[in-house]
Amino acid sequence: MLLDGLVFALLGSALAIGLAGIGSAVGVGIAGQVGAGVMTEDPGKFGQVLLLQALPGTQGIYGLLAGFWVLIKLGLFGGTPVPVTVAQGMQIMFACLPIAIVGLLSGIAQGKTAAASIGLIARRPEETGKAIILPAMVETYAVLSLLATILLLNSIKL
Amino acid sequence: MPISSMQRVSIVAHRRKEAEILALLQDLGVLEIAVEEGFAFEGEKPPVATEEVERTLSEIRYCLDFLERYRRDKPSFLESFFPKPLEVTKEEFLQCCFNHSPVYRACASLEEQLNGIRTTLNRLMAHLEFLSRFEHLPIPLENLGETRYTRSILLEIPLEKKAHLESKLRERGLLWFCETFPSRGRNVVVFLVAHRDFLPHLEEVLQEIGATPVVLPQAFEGTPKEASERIRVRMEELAREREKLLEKAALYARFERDLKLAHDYYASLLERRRKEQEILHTRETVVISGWVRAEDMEKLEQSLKALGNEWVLFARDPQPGESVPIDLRNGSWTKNFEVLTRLYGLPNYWELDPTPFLAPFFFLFFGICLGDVIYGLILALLGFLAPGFLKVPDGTRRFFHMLGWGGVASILVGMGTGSWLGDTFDHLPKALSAVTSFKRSLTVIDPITNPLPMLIFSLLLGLVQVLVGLFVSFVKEWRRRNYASAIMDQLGWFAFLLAIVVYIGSTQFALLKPFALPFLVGTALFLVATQGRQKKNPVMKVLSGILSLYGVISYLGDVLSYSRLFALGLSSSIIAILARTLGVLFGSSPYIGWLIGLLVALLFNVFNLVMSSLGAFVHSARLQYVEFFTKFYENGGKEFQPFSYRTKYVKVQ
Repeated sequence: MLLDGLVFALLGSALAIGLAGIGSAVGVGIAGQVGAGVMTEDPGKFGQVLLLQALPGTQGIYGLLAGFWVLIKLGLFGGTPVPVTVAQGMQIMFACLPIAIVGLLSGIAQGKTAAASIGLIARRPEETGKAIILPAMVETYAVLSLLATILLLNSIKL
Repeated sequence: MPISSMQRVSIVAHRRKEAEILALLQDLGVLEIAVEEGFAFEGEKPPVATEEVERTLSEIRYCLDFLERYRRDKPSFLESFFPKPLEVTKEEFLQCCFNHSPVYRACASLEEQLNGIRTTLNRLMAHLEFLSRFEHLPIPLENLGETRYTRSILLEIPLEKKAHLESKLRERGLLWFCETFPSRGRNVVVFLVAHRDFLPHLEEVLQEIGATPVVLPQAFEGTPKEASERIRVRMEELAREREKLLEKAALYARFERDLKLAHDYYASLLERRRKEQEILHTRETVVISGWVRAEDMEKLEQSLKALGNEWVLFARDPQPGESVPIDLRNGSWTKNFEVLTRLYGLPNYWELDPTPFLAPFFFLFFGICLGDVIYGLILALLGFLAPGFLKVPDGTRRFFHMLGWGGVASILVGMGTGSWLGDTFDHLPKALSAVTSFKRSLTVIDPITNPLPMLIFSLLLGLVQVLVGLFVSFVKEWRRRNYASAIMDQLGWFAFLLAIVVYIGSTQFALLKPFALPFLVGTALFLVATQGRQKKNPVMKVLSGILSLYGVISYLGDVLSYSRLFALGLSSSIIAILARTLGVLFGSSPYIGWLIGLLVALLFNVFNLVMSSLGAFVHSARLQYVEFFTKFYENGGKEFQPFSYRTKYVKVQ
């Protein structure tokens, strides 16, 4: 029996959602630990800390988005499932890798930057704006990898 | 000129008038008091009495803090973030004569009593805990200790050691007696009475088996049970007493208004005292100098005239190199985006204010990143209506308005890309098909089925912004009379980048074909010819000219960075589609499935709105800072802070 290409396509979708999700979870976790420490001193900073903690959360969203795009493309959400060859399935899987890998690693890196930024606002609350921009610099690469994944997926003809 | 022009003024007046003039200046709020640079105080600085005001202020703060902790009517969550200001007339504010001392003393004494009760309660709790170990002991605790011939002690030992203890004691004599009662866990309580002559033996035995007599934390009366009961009664009394004190403390909330008013009054007074240190005196005169907006000069002079004529006003333009405070002055629409310039850092006085340049770009970028009609509508409503409800200060209101305008842009972009809560409006019931077709008629291009045009549009926007940045830089250099640099660097690159675009465009539009190549080669040669002008050796001139073309890579990187606009815009609509899809999935299950489906869709959409708005703000701001500002902007100014009332709670009308 021939291996169905759907297996690879779903693996790609799962990798995008799973790995990028792990990246965000670790990143948000790192930022949250530092945030909790800052709030023991000054609970009034909750709003700013939460904002910074949320920043590394976007990789998970991008991963979900890419994975969802694959599912739509495969017609698994309403509509008729599209038959996928092994080659097409593998193409889809590889197209998912940019956001999967970069999402994982940039989420963690962004979490560390967000943690440092939380440390910054602990001492200089008036610099919240700048503190938000620094983690956003890391996120650039997650956005670019999402872009790559979307363009790759879009170029695969089923 | 979006930066207000400033005047350096010095008011020289008779010393008699000093207090009057200062009060007037504080009321006007147009002058930032600052000693002229290069002036130094000779001898000692005039001693200024701020300690008294500082103490008063800290006592008032203590009272307000006390109120906050013990008040019964806690402010709502929203109010704690955006407290409503207290509106008072100027007369009421200036004639504030609230004597806070009785309130302060009462609060401090209440706090002391409450603390005392808390300490006592903690101690009693510890005693209860201690006594609970001996609750089966029927012997009054005052019997412990010594009589003329005996000594009685309590031991708490493990059950298995008890037989051991008794046999050891028996080996040494019989002048003792003990009785055992249950305690907690595997322990027992041993009440032991021994004759004085036997005490040395007792100690030996205790040492051998490793037991020490129980020490009471204080003298108790009656059996442990009775003592515990008495402590419980005492604790209830204390709790009632504390409740009474708390009620009393809550009553002090009625002084809230007076205290807040007094707080701002004294904070303003302290501000005035501090500024007095920046004022120069001679024996007969006083010199107050600082910065005024040119447009306020008239007002300042007119107001001073009302005080008589024992003063002179000198004014001059700022000189290059002086650090002049910055007051941004933008149109009512552009002003909403000033917060972005402030976040990065204000320009210095001799620079341009970048706000008018970034405002249209930020507006558009935010719209593309959020890119959904319904999300935009929610954000616009929130941004424009919330400040009215919450009565927030000016800065916060402008921030909300900026978000509101971002929402407006998002509505426009969403209409063009056909994103109304993602594709939700394509799946409306039949009865609403008119809405669906209206939506479709507005759609220009759907980036989900055809992503490339939107990506190219984003990159083109980036190119436009980079070119605008270069052009602003050109104008700036030109005005500084650096004509060579303006033409060769800024204009040269501007033309070269434009030529590249024209060249790429010529593959699509035949009209451009004849110009494209000559334009590109010409501008490239211009850069090669000019970029090496610093080098002396003619070979090096040409080489570094050619090498400079490599700089196109950094511009390319800048432009590619704008692809995020497309990616973020797509991301918010796809998550919205995901929300609808999941909603339908859950909604198709029986019974209350529709409710669960609705909740799931709502939850996802709210989450998406929050995260996408955050992303839209952060990334649109980043594009201004990293890609746009680097072309022309230099910050380093400090905000103009005129001497005025320092209010935290009060809004003077």
